Formats: sequence, structure tokens, C-alpha cells
Amino acid sequence: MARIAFHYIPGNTFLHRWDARCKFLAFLFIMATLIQIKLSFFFFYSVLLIFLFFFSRPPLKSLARELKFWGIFLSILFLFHSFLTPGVPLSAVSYLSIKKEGLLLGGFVCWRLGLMLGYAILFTSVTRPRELRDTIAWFLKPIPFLPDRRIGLMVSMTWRFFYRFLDYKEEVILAHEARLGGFNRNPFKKVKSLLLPILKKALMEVEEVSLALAVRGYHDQLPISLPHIPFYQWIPVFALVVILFLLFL
Amino acid sequence: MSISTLRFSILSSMMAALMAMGAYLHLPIGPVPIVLTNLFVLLSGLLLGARWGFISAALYLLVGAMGMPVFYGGKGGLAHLFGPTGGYLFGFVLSAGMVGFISHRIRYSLLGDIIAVIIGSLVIYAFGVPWLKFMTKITWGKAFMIGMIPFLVGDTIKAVGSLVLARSARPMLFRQIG
Amino acid sequence: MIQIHNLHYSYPDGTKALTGINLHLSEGEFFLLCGPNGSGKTTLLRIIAGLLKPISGSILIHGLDLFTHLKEIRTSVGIIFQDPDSQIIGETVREDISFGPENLGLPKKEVQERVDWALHRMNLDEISEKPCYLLSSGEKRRLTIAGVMAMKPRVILFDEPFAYLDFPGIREVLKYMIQLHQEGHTLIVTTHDVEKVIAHVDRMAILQKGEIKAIGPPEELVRELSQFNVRPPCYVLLGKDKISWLE
Repeated sequence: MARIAFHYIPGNTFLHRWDARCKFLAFLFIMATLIQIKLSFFFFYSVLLIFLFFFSRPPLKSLARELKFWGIFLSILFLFHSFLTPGVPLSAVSYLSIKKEGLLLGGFVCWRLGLMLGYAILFTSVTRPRELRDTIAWFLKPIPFLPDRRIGLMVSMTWRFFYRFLDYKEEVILAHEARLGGFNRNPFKKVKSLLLPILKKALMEVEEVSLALAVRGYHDQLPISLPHIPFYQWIPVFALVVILFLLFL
Repeated sequence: MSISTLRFSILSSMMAALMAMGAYLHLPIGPVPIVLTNLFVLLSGLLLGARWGFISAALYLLVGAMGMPVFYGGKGGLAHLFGPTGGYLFGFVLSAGMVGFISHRIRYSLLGDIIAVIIGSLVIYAFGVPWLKFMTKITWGKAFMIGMIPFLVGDTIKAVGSLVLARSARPMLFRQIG
Repeated sequence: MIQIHNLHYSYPDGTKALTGINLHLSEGEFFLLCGPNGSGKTTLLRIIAGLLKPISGSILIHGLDLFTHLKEIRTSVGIIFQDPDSQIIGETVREDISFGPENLGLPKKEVQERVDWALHRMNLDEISEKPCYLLSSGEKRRLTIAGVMAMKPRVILFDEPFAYLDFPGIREVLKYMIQLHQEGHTLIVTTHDVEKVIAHVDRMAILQKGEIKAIGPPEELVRELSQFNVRPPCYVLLGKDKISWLE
């Protein structure tokens, strides 16, 4: 079963054609400003995200199926915050010690996380890993003594392994359950039986991938030739900054 | 570029990806949810040695700084890296390098590995706790109560886990890298 | 032309993988290397591709020594791995094929031409923008061949090319292999299951425990296969003439 989240999804929308360097800057900016818990930012970003998702036309059906996993993840986090934040317990359900502050904070934290995940999924779905690799190399180029091209490759490889491990993890857990591994309460055994298969598979894959790169002649010296960024590509970035500034006032 | 350098570059990417995946794996022990990122930090030192262990943890930070949701609880972004818990993240980088250095120095003996993971785990707090204290302006006592004590049980399990994993995976790795 | 002389290889942990391999292949030969699991087939292929360094022995490819001309050898020898998933590097079909030619440092236009040519050649034009993780096993196999073809190698090595494939998939890959052979490429195929390809190869060798036990035309060796733990093809078991999988 192939998952969709964090994969590149080919298309020919505005977001796909937008220069990866500008796209990357805008993405960085959004991620950096999301740390502020500010209602107006959150509303703006939510509307923008829905709008952009609509625009980039991902296969929404399959995405929705995967959101189940993130949904569970977010609700655990929400509960965790609602119970453990100090404050005045709500009178109606006092025996559960849920507080108003906890609900609010939990809600905000989950909202923010949902936005972050949403933008990350969106960004990776419209940016080819190769563009990402070259973009990183391009940003690192002015710094001397850094192997910019190799770092770019390593980042895009990390990303590739990350989403493959997320897929593979589910498979290992299923195989583990099939042999009643769930009944084992020993945490050491659990760590070993779940992680060792992933690690071994990963090591084998590393070997294959590095040989595959070598055999197709990968080397660091290849110059990156990225075209000059036309001015209109910058407009969305400026627009974003201006809107955020106005909201901040 | 030699195949060996290429292989270590890809190995570091793989370990960084495991650290990222670790942020999504929970161990249901103790009062706080325990994520497995630092298990993989220790493991990368044990498997890759000082230089490449350091690089793999730095790579994890870089991917996170770019905004990818790879930090604890699916967070990402530069702001998070320099937030109250950023010290732990920077601690990872030094920890992975330190573990690699010690375990390599003591020639991968069991005792050497044990010393390495203990020191490696402490290095993470040596960065994380003071950073937390100065960023949130709380007392030292409170910083330790929030930022260290609740995690100690989980850390012991994770340290042992990384040892077990390293010792079973090493023969396979050494077969490849020699 | 490939000349291998007294080749030895051990893994870094000391396990002996190949002991004293001698092998001479002529230009344009379709060669089958068979043997049970763990006999050293994959290791030998990877050495020929310049990916592993043997302990001793020499390999000449087209008259050039493998280890002093590593870069030339890597461009003239292409290898297709057993597991296509680990060989596919790009995110879409087109991007993956362009990876090799880009590394050769070719100008953009020529990269483009080579990619289009390889796409067309392996009948992948229709799905050139498809993400690789959505491809079927047969399409993945064709993509890995296209990725190698775009580098225009003279020698192509196939490591268990029929693994993971269904009947139509196997026939398709076989068809392309025969085409490549007719065009003058030198092909080396490894497999533990000789059935699928034996009717088309010029010569074959049986590898067991890191040694070449027998070498010669398939007609001569086909009856000896079972004593080396390789299953002979059906037609031998039934006592009939050779049958191609394409018929």
C-alpha cells in the first residue's frame, strides 16, 4: 500500500511551477511564524492552506484515508494537554480534572500542529526532491568549505528514507501483532523486536542505494546550474510577508 | 568520490531519517510519552563513529530547521529549534559525536559502549536543561524537575535499547563497510 | 570483451565469496551465470560493475583494466539490481532516467534527448510523469533498464531480472533482453531459475560456493544442472527439445 503524504505528486499547477527557491523561502517563513500563538495568524493560515490544497489538486480521497493516522496522533496530544495543564477544573466534569486552560492550550497546540503538517504535506507534494536538493545546495553555496551538493543529496535522501520508514513501520507492527507480539510486556524485547527489523532493512537499503548512486556515476563536482529567479516569482513571498505584518499590527 | 564516502553519506541520511521516525514512535512507559529520537541519536554514534554520527544528527537538525515535521510531536521549523526545548536538539549533535568517539576509542567492547551511551545521554541534558532554564527563566530545581527527572526511566530503557540494537546490527554493517 | 583472471573476493568480515574465478566473454555475447542462493553470483556481477574491489586477480573490460579506468568502466557497464525499489532514485519516471546522463556531465539538451530515447525504447512514454512509487513491478523493472540504457553502456548486467515479476512481465523483460543482444550489447544474466532464459543464451556457467564448476553452451550443461542444486528447465525433465518462454 503506497502512502501519499510527504510524496511528490506530479501536476502542472501554479504551485508546481513556482520556483522551488521562492517556494522554500515562503515555506520556511510560514513555519517560523506558526510558533506564535496568535489567533489571526492561525485563521489566515488555515484559510490559505485550504485554498492552496484546493489549488494544487492532490488526490484528496487517499489523503483523507491517511489523515486517520494523524487524527489519532493529534487527539492523543490534545488529551495529554487537557489533563496535564494546571488551572481551574471545569465544574461539570470536575472529577476528571479537565481545565479550561488545558482545553484551550490543547486546542491551540493541535491546531498549530495540524497546520504545520498540512503545509509540510503540501510543500512536499508540489516540490520534486531533486528541486529540493538543488535548492538546498543553492542556499548553502555562499558558505565556503561546505560540500553544498552533497548536503543537498543527503537532505533529500533523509526525506526519502523518512517516508519509507513510516510506511515500513506499519508493516513491521502488523507482522509483530500477527505473531502475538502485542502480548509481550517486556519493553526491551519490544524495542528490539520492533526496531531491529527496521534497522536491518534500512542497512540493506543503504547499501543498495549507495551502489546504485555509484553505478550511475554520482559525484559532487557537478556544477548546479539554476536559472535566475524572475521578479514575478518573488511576488507571493512579498505578499505573504506584508499580510503577516498587517495581521501582526 | 569513493564508494566508501558515498556509503557513509547515505548511512548518515538513513540514521537521520530514523531519528525523524523516532519522533512518531511512542513507548507507553512512565508518566510522560517517550519518543525514540534519542535512542537513534545514541545508535548513530555507536554505529557510525564520531564524525558521521555527528553529521547524521546535524542533518536531522537541518531537515527539521527547514520546517519538515521531524521534531518531537511532528513539529518543525527554525523557531522550534531555537525555542525552549532547542537545547536538547543541539545536545543530540554533540551526543552522537561523543558516543561515537568513546565507543570507537574503547574498540567497541561492551564496557566501552555502556560508558559511551551513559555519557551520551548526559550530554543531551547538559545542553537541554540549562537552555530550558534560561529560555523560560525558571529556577534550576524546576528546570531539572521538568526537563530531566521525568525522562530518566525512559532514557535507561532507550540507552539499553540502543546498545542491544547496535550490537546486533554491527556485524551486518561491518560486513558492508569493513 | 571481458577477461577475468584468477579473481578472489572475501567480505570484510572474512567470509570467502569468490575463489579463483576465470572467465572470458567475447563482445556481444549473451551469457548466463547460474547457481544456487549464496553462490556468489551477485558479488561477481558487482565486481564486474566496479562496485566491489576484489582481493586479488585482474579484470579487463574492452582491454582496459577495471581499477585504473573506473570512470570509463562505470559508463560502459550498466547493472540492473535485483530489487528495483532500491535502484530507483528519482521521484518520477523521467527524473529517474535523467539521473545517470546528468552525472555524465552532458549538456541539458543531450540529457533530454537521451531520456526521451530511453523512455521510447522501453515503452515508458505514456507514464513519463508518473511517480515511481505508483508503478507496477513490471514498469519498475523497465524503468531500471531505461535508467541504465540512457547511459549508453556496451555491457549490461542483470541480477535476477525475473524476480517479483508475473508471466507477462517476465516475457516482456526477456523480449527486451533479446533485442539488446541483437543490437550488439554484451549481456550477463544471473539467476537461480534458468528456465526462463536458457533457450536464448549463447553460453552459460554454473557457479557454486564461489567457484565456476562448469562452463559451456547450454545444450551441454543443461543435464548437469541438478547436481549443482540448480533446477533444470522443464523441457529437460520431460526429455523434449528446448522451449522459449516467448513461444
